[in-house]
Amino acid sequence: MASATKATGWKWATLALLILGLALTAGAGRASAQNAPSGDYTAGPFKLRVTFDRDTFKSAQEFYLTVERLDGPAGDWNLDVTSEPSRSTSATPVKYSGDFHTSEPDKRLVKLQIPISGNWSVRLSLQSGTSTGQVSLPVMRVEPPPIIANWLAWLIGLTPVLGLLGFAFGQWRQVINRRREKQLSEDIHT
Amino acid sequence: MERIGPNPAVLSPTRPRADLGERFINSKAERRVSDYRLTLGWLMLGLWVGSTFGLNWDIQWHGVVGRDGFWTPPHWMFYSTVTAAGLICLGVVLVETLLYYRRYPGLHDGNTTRVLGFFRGPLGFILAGFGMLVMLSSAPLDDYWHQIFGIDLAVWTPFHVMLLLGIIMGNLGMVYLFASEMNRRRAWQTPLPPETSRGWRILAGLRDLFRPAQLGLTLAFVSLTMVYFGAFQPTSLGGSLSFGSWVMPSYSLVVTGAAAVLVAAVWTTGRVGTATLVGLLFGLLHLAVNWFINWGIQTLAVDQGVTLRSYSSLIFTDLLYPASLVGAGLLVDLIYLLTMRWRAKGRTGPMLAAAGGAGLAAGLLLFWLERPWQMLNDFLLKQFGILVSTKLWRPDQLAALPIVLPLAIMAGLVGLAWATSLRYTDR
Repeated sequence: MASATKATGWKWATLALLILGLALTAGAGRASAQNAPSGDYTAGPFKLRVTFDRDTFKSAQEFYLTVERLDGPAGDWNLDVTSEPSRSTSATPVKYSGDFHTSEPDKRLVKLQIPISGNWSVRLSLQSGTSTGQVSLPVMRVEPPPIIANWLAWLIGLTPVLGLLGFAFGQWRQVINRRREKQLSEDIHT
Repeated sequence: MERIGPNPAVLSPTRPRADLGERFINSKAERRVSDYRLTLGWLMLGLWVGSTFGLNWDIQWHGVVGRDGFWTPPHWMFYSTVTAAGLICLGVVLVETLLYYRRYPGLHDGNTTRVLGFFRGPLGFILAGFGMLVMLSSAPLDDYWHQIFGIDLAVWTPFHVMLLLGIIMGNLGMVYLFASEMNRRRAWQTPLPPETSRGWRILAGLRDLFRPAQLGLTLAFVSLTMVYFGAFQPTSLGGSLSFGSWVMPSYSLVVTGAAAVLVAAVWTTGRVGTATLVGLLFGLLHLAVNWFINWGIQTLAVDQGVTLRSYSSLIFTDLLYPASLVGAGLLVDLIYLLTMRWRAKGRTGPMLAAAGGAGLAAGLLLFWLERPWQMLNDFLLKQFGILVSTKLWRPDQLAALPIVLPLAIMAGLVGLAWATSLRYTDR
C-alpha cells in the first residue's frame, strides 16, 4: 500500500516537473523556418555555390558552410568569412580564420559559430591573383537557447546570497560566543 | 574540543594580544601551518589581483571591441586566474582534512573550520573557494544570457549579479584568511615592554603595516574596495535623486558607503595608517588596472585590426578615481588615533561613537568631493544630460545631507561590526 502511494507520488512529481519544464521553455521550442541562405551567388568575378549543413541555426552551435567555385578556379584562391549582426541584434561581427582548404581545390569548408541569437548575415570575401570579390548572404535567423523565466534566472542568480547570509550569521554567533567566553573568564578570575 | 580562553582585545586595543590566553598556541607545528597558509594566501592574492585586471579589462573590452565569443582574451585571463585560485582553496581544504584526521599536531578544532560535515580547513580559504565556485558556475549561465539578450547587457542581470556575489565571497574569504593569520601572528609576537616610548610604539606600529599578514589583509581590503567601486560605478548604477531643481546621481550616495571599508581596515588591524594605506594602494591599483586595460586593448585589438565599436572609451580621465579615498583614510586614521585612550576603557559607547564619527567624517568627505571629481570626465552631462555645477558645495548636496549623514554613520558602524568579527577570527 505504502509503496503504491510512493509510486503515485513519484508519477505526480514527474508530471509536475514536466509541466514546469514546458512552462519555463514555452515559446522556445517553436519550430524555426528553414532559413539557410544556401544557393548560387556572384562575388565580383567569381561564381559561387554556397551550401550550409543545416536549415536552422542556434546560437553558440557550430555549423559548416561549403563554398564552391563554379567558374573553375585557375590557381589558389583565398576565402575570408565574417558573420555580421543586423542592426537589431546586439552583437559584434565574428571573423573566422584558418585554413578552409578541402581535398577538392574548388571547395572550401568553413566552421562557423554564431555567439548571439538574432538576425545575422554571412559575408564572403574572395581573392584569387589580382581579382577580389565580396558577397553578403541574405539575413538568416539564429535561434536562442530555451529561455527560462526571468524569476527563475533571478532565483538562481541570487542563490549565493543564502551563503553570504549564513556566513554573516555564523560570524555573529561566533562573536556572541567569544564574548560569553570572555565574560566567563573574567568571572573566574574575579 | 573547544578551548576556553579570553578573546582578542576588540574593546581594549592597547592590551597586548599575547597575554590573551591559550587560544593561539605557539607550537612549531602551528607556525608551520600558519606559514604555509600565509604563503598560499599571498599566491591567491596575486591570482586575485590578476583576476581584477582581467575583469576590468573585460568590462572595457565589451564597450570597445564587443564580444565575438566566450573565449575573449580578458575572459581567458579572468577565468584562468579564478580557476587557479579555486584549485588552491580546494587543495588547502583537502590537505588539511587529511592532516586533521591523521592528527597532525598543528591542526585541530581551534584553527580549522568544519565544512560540509566532514571537511576541515581555514575559514578564509573555504569562503574564498565557494566564491570561486560561484564565479565559475556563473560563467556558462552568463554566456547563456548573452546568447539570448545580446552583448550589451547592464551590470544588473541575474548572472552578472551571481558573478558579483561570487567575487564578494571570494574577496571576503581573502580578508578572513589574512585576518586570521594576522591575529595568530600578533598573539605570538613578544609585546613591547611597558616602558617603551610613544615614538618607538608608533614606529613599531608602522613596521606592522608591512608585515606579510597585515599587508595581505590591507590588499584584500583594497581589492574589495575595487569590487565595490566597480559594481557601483556610474555607468552601472542608474537612477538619480531630485532635490528641487537639482538632480543628483544615486552614485553620489554609494561613494559614501566606502567609509565602511576604511573603518573596518583600521579597527581590524588596530594600527594607525591602515586606512590611509588602503586609500593609497587603491589609487595605485586603479591606475595600474586602467593602464593595463589601455595596453591590452591597444595591443590585442587595435594592433591586430579588430573592428572597434567605440574608440572614445580608450581615453581614461578617471585614472585615480576616487583619489579622495586617501583623504578619507587619513581622517579615519586620525580619529582612530585621537580616540585611542578614550576607547581603551573598553566601554561600548565610546567605541560606537568613535567608529560612527570616523564613518561620518570619511563618508562626508567622499560625498563632498565625488561630484567635482566626476566633472573631470563630464560623463554625467554626456550620458544623462545632468547639469553639473562647478561649485564645490551646491544646494543639492546640502539638501541630501539628511540622507548622507545617517548613511555615513551607518557605514562607520558596519565597519566596526565587521572589524569585530575579523578580530575574533582565528581559524
